Amino acid sequence: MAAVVEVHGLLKTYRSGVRGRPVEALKNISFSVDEGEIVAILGLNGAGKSTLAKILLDLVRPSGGEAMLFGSSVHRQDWKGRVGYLPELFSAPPSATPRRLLRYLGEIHGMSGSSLNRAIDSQLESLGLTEVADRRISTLSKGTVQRVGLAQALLHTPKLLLLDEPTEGLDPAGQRMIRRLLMALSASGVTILLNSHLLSEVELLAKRVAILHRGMLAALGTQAELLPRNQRFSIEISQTPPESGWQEIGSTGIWKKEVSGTDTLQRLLTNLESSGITPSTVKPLHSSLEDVFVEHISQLEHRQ
Amino acid sequence: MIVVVKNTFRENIVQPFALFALILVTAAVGLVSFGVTLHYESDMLISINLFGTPIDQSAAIVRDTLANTASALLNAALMFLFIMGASFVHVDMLKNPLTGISLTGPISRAGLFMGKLVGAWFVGFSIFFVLWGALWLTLFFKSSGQVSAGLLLGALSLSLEYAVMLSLAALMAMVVQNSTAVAILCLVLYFSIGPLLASTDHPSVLLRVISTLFPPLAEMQEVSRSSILGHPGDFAAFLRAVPHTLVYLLAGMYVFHKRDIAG
Repeated sequence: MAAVVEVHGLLKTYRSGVRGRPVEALKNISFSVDEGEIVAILGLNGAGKSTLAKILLDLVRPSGGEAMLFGSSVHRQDWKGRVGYLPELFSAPPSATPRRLLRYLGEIHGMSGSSLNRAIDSQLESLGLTEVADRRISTLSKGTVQRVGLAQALLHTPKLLLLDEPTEGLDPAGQRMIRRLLMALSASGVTILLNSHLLSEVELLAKRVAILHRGMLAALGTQAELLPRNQRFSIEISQTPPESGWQEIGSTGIWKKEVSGTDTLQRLLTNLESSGITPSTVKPLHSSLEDVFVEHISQLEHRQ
Repeated sequence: MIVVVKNTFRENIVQPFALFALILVTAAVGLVSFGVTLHYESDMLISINLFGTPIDQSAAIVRDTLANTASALLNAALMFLFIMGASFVHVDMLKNPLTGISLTGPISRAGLFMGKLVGAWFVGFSIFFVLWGALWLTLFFKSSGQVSAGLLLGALSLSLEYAVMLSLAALMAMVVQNSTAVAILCLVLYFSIGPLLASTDHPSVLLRVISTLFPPLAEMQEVSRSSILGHPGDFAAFLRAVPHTLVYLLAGMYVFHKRDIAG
């Protein structure tokens, strides 16, 4: 499968002022993302996640190394029009409305006329924004503005999505809606690179995880590779289970099941999805991505 | 780029500086419409009434004094507001998340830079023409067609001054990256240093060198004032400002091309 994103030995050093101390935001980062993959960059605030996304979009110039999208250097700008971007802390002019903002960004992408109108209506509907489409952005909640941000990233049907903290500010229902949307996009061949510090979100979404810490790549691999093989998960649903092996918690109507390994978990979630059941809780027991994250970070700190 | 021009115009026309300018326009037109009465006899202006009170002086002197004061004040107030507005456009571009998003589309950094500049310029251009156009129409009807078309020439002259200051503000924004600092620098330059540097025979070599870095601001201001009063000035001052404007634009674009974008 062709690599959509490739970075080799990426370095970025920021300098504040002429005599300011240099700060190394990225130190020799190399990895690639294949077509249709969802890869999560996990890291604490200031780890270098946003800098990495901005280098991939040629918004920030690297101090060394190379970044490539769709097989050519990002500086050549061949990727333009094929990437959807949601920046961290997305905001828009307060006087604009979601529909007007989408129209402007659609026109920037060369869309016009009825195809633009259809694309706008479709995104507004799929992200539950139809009712607020003509309201001023200053009157919308933080979560709704974040969904407007996602709508603009998807408007021109990009082949690659760079999402910086996509579920920031969303309530649990909103987070679930976005997760489903991203999974559907991935299934249709869209490559997704997402930055997040929400471990639960990454566990449910990403096939591969890169742990970034103080500009260094602390770990990179599939969840199965990073998590212990016998990782156990607890799943809860609030509907009658489609198969045996579930235990009802008291007489609450909530059913619970524990499984071992991420593969088994993935199979179970797929089965539930096909039965039209959405789990109310999926949580790792004992060892989790959080443990892996903490372990890799402490190993890196120890080595330094 | 036209999309960016349109959007920048739409965003800026509702900004406080543009709204204040529109209020000023309305007040000026209102004052002339309801406060000034011109009396003609055989196509000759014989007296002027201000708010119903006849002015006990030669009509021509009153007319010239009023026009001089009003045009100087209006020009200064409008340029003050628009330089303030211009200082924010390009600094905001470096920090606004929409800049990064826009640049994922098939538009270059140079296109975005110019789109923002032209969009902001159109705001000034429209308001100058609305103001001087409305005043011209008001005076035209009050004077039974005796008013000269200098007002419209004045609007053009102000628009050109604004274009020069916008390009300077855009370059400063790229270098300083702080809108307050850009606003202060531009205002100081326009209202004090610019006119001070106007003289070409400075005793100091340093001042002579500095004066070559800036366009002939004082001359341009003089052209705008005299044009409004019906005496078109030497528009060659604007031609002399073209190289400065081009250098500011190209330098601003170059710095923007090299800058890391926070948004």
